[in-house]
Amino acid sequence: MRTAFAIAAKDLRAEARSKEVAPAMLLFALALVFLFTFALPPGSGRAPVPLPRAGSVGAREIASVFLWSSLLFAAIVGFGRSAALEREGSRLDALVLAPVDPALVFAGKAIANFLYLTFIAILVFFFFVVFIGVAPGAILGFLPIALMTNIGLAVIGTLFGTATQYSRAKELLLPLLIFPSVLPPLLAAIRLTSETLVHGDPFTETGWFILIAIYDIVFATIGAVTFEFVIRE
Amino acid sequence: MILVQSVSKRFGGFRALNKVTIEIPRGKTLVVFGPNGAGKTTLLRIVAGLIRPTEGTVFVSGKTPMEARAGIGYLGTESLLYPSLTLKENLRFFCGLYGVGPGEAVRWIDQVGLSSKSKALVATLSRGESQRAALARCLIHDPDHLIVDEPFAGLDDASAAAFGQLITRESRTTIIATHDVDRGKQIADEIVTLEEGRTK
Amino acid sequence: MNIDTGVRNLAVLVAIGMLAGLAAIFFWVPTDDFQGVAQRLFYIHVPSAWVAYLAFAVVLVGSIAHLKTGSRRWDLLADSSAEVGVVFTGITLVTGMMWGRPVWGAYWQWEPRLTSTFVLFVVYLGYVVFRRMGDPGRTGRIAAVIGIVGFVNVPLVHFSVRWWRGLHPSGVVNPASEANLPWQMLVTMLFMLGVFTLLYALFLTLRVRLGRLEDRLLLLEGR
Repeated sequence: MRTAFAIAAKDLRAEARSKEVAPAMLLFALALVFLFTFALPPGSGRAPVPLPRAGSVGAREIASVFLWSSLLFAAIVGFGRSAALEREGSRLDALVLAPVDPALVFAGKAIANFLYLTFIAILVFFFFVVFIGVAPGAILGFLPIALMTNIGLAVIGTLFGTATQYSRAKELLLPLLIFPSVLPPLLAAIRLTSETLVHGDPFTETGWFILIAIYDIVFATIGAVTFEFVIRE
Repeated sequence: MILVQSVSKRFGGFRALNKVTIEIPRGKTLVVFGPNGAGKTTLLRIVAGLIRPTEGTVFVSGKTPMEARAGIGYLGTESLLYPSLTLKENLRFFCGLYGVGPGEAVRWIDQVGLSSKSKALVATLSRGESQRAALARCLIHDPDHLIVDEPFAGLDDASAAAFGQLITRESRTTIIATHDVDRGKQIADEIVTLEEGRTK
Repeated sequence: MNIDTGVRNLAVLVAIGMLAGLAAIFFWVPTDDFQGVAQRLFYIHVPSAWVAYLAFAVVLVGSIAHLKTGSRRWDLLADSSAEVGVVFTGITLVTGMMWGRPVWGAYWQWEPRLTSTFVLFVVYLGYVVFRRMGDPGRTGRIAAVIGIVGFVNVPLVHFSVRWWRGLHPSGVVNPASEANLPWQMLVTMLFMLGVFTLLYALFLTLRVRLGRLEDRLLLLEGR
């Protein structure tokens, strides 16, 4: 596992200098949040009443959908860039040549992606606090949801981000593969986040947490086992 | 000892290698000549374990290249270093991957004569410097088997000689691919010429 | 019997079966009391869905076997089955929408089975695109990974959507759970399932043979 952390640390250090991944993700997420907020009345993060003409769905449920949509789009931008770091100059070859288990290379890249995502998730959450008046204290409920969900997103993003580097249509393929694949944890995260925004507590529906946990475990395992086939020609 | 037994490689319909058989005794240096597109790079990448042959087998000290990779150094046409890390950070990272002490990073930076560039970002190195940095990367675990693709490209005579000296070592089995016949012959124990994917 | 007569006989069998099945659907089976004529779409819709899931299960098996053995035959099987599967998923979705409009009053419902099928469609569309646009040295293995992830994800999608909907009941009619099915309906459905399975076998065989010919052509074009 030390190897995995070394690979992740290498990614983070390179990122700290070149700033190729996180700022792009952040700007993208910010732009989306900015657009989305036009759909919500000001202060609706606190508003107890449902939005007019939105049926029974309250503003805070919609805020939760917006939050995760921005995160997902930003994540896809980030995954592509983080995988490109290894692909450019065939640098992935160096990781294939080294006597390390490909599963650890996968873990290292996924850890880096997870940290980018979580960093962005926290910032995006505070955009929501500022722009639509979500209660700052809700971060306590949001954080465990984000941590759990980001594991699954990072795992799938690392696997498909790297896989699509070997295609001429990577900009098309990466979202095409990621959107349907992350549907289960995304639905869970949206549901749990709106629970948090409405009741201030995400733990009223632990079943969704279990769903995310199962997803994380299943795909982390598949990713670790199959990454070798993605990176070795 | 490196053994290549009737190895073929096809990329779709393109036959990059066609039943190539080569044997390199321990400690010897084989130089592979051949025009561009003859299959030199494909052969080297197969021996290094980067790609799998379509047919045939490769043994490096009796193991598959993948199993033997702790004892293989590969220097391709790219440096495989991260441009936004310094030279020292790069080599320390590879020390970690190969399980050798971080002191080796400093030692090899000295060996290839880049001590003054140790804290420079790899992106800022000149072409010749990054070639030497790449050499340090592929030798960092002091491999018994060394695979080098076009090492002389863009080097003057003095650097080419220095380069030749650094890569040869007692009991190191080496494959070098080049189309520089003069320089290649100087360091070769054995010579093979590839043409259209076949040995001649 | 050589392979050509085998394929030809299969094709003839499928053609006869399909005609007989269509005759049964249009003239023999009674009209459903609740859903009306639209229910007859089910004799196409359900077998298509069955073939789609069967095809993707074959992709899963072919993918795992390809990763284990590295054999091109498994790879070609997975590739061929994915293409056939995408076509039948498309038929499933379109016939489902045609049925949904008169019966549900909407072309589409984000209901577990529809959503899972739609997710399969998108993932395997990506798979097929990747096959055509991938780096030749790696395409087979990476596609295998996509095939495995896509299939394993289906139960999780199904479950999560059902749960999501469970909190917002949508009153979807579940056609499979209707009791007292007239026996003609059951017979027709089973018959069409058989015919579609044979149709899948035929498409798969033809596609695998086409793939082999393509491989050989590539070899001849090369040196």
